[in-house]
Amino acid sequence: MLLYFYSVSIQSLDVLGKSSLRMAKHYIEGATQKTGSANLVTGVVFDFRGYDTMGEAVVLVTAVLGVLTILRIKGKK
Amino acid sequence: MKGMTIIVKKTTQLIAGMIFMYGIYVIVHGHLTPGGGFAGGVVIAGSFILVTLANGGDFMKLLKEESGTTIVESLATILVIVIAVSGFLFGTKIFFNNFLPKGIVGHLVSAGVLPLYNIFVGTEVAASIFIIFLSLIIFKEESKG
Repeated sequence: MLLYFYSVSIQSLDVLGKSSLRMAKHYIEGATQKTGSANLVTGVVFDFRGYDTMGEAVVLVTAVLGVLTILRIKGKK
Repeated sequence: MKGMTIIVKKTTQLIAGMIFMYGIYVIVHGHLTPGGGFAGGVVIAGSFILVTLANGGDFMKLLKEESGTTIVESLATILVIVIAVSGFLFGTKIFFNNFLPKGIVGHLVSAGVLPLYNIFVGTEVAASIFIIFLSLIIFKEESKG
């Protein structure tokens, strides 16, 4: 049964790597007008993908909390 | 922790201000030149670490500095989320809406909410790196004495 699905997918899917540029083209095409920033990387990181940047800032705060907790327990002996 | 000799102290008094100003430049021009919030925050933390290492400090002063810096870090994180939520109130009801007017591309005041994001994230990253450094020094001082 696995061989059947393997043969069907080889015939109908795209070449390896071609379908991953579709999203990138939609991001780059109107980015300067849509976000208003000259720096495309900052525009994508903070405007199109702002949720991930907020998650990354929260991860940094969590790491600091972890370091503070471990060092307080080990210090007071 | 002990300070260093007088040559190191005078050199860092000259240099630390320039490093701080360069970090502010990298943060504020985040939407025009490469850099942005995270890299500029690390540069600002570097200037604070330089001043602490050169001048030393006794135990109570380091504890007071650490308790003040945790307040700054928490306030910066809360302000990031407040700006993100306030996209609900103005304009269309989208989370992370870019609601301030986007000016001419290439000017300093442009691109909506992006400069505010860069400033608050940069402050938070600088406070985080400085807190990790201070807590390691306090751990060493406590376990020695």
